[in-house]
Amino acid sequence: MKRDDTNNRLLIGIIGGAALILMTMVTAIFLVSRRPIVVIVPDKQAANAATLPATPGSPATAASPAEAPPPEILVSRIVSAPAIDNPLDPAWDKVAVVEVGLAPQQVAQPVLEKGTITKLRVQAVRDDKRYVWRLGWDKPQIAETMDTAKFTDAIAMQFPLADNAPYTMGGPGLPVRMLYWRAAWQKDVDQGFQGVAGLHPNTDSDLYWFAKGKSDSEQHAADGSTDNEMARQWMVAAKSGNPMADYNRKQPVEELTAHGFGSGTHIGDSPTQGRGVWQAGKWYVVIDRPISLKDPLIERFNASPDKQLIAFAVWDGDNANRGGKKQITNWLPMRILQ
Amino acid sequence: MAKRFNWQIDREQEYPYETLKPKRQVAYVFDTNKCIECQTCTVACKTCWTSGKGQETIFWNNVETKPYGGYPHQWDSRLMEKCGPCEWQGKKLYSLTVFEKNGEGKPPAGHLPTERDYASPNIGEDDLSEMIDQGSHFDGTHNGWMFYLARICNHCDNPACLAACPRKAIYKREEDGIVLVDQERCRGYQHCVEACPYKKVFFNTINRASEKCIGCFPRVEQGNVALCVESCIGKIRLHGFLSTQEEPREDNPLDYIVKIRKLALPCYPQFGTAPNVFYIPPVHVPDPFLDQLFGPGVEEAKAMYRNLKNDKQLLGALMLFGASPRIITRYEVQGDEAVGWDVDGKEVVRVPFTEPTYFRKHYDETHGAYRQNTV
Repeated sequence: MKRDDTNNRLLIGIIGGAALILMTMVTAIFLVSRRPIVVIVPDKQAANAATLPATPGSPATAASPAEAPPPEILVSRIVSAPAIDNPLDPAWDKVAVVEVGLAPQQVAQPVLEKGTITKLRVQAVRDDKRYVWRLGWDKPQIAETMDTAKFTDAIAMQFPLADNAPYTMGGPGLPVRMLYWRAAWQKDVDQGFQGVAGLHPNTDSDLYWFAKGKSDSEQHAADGSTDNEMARQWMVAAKSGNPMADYNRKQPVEELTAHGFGSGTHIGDSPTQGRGVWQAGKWYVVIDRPISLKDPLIERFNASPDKQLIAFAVWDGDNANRGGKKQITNWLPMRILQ
Repeated sequence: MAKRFNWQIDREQEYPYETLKPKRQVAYVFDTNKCIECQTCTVACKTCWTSGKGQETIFWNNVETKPYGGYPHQWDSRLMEKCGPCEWQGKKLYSLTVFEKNGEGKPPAGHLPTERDYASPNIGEDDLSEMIDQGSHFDGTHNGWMFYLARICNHCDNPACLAACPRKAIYKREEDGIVLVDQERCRGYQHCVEACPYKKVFFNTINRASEKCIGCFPRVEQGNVALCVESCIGKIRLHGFLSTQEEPREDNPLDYIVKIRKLALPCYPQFGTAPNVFYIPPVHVPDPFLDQLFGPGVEEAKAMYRNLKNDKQLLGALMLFGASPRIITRYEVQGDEAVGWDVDGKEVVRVPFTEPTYFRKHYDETHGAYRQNTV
């Protein structure tokens, strides 16, 4: 036995042992750090209601075949559509109800972190003169006051004015049209404008420049005491024609056009009318639109009544919903029966 | 999110928009040592701009007593609680600004007061920092302290209100950096009210749109100072422009006081909006409170203020406070006078360092009457 051989064997033993230990360690680290593979299978109904495509432009009709098709809004033809002054008209009981799932808006900031309204009941009819929709949703109490940190319940319908307009309020060069109802405006129409005296009965103000009326109560009244050019200098939004500052509101529904989030623009002199009523924990809102109109929306309706799209948004005033903080749907197919 | 340098926190920070600096930036210096909270500024502003219906609790200008006052109630402490303690190392901020707090792409960190928080504009007025025991007396150190903080919109370099508006209805003017709410486009979502750390955007309950201090822009456009500045009887305010396109100029009183000498400090620079109202800190108030309110540099500013009598150039700039209804864009110390020129290059003030004294005789021969100093 040579001294060199012993050394070699010793060396091989040491290297081999070290390699074995290293392999064991690597295997152990691999096993410990390996994460289990979990496959999440979404609940089919929830997925249908709450999953909106990542690309805002893709319409709901292009959903993958695995998902249930989106509900279709059928605008059935009847002889005489219910009048808008009574959203609780028994005639609505005979009209089919389509239940639509709502999801919190989380495409653009500011997002709605958590939705409070998950379902919307949609009915739609037409006669020779008007299209009428009735929208209903559960709401335990009314939010119809607008004040600092107080917001109003609201609902909107949206229609594309261009093919491929994204459901996210349209896009550049791809406008949409919206019909928007607010509970606060309904209260203005039903009970008169909610002025300072209505909002804060105990408030006091030394003076309103150029307001009519001698006493405080006369000046505080919302009956047009500031309805003159001079007084309006201190009410700039009203003077500049901001539709929010309409002290003599005739309609609770506003018509808007948009070409993307944040671009909603008021359209004056809208022929659209509406009315909302809250009863036993539910809102019922009726919105109509005359058929005999020369405007882009109705022209699209008439051109291809079978292939229309509609989308909805609902705002919960009690959950500080306003603007982008809303529950929405993707485009839903809408078919107008002739 | 874009990155932009904020000189008040000595580092780059997040901001949603990449925008150019305005041609010049409207700015103010308020000397808190001289304010007596007479509210003349508040009344001047309110009478002119916010006495309409729906503006009952809107005060574009207000003066509150620190440490306990605040309008709306606890506007600052609530945000500080939300943002956590700020950390400075020297002049550099290490904690997160309101734009960084919530993460990238998220709205600025803020809080939305309720209408109750606006109901008591004078809350905490004249309250001292602590109780004064019976028999207490002044022995060189005040037992309690308080001071008055006059507040208007800061017309920030990085306005949080503008960043928060999803409709882009708020804009910063290119010509003077004044921040305005478009009264035609605003739909009253109040994201700006929530985001503004200083709570200087208000919701108008009748117009159902938000409003804010307009920096008296119709006056500024004519070279006049804001109404709150002109009406200040204590002459605590100086209104002018900071240079934005060039290096700070020694002969621009705003540049000199704020940028070159750093006698006046921004309010809550840690929020990251780079406000443009600068305060000369109250010399009698303990440093820890002022460090929190004005950031680093309080001690130096106090020392500088105490030494003003030996600092003619700086004292000259301070003598321009309340000296003219015109905006002074250039000044010079000439002998024993501070001279100021307006935007048109016209001399508008010449203030002597020492007021002349006149002695009058006891008996007025012209009127045949004795003069007396009692009524």
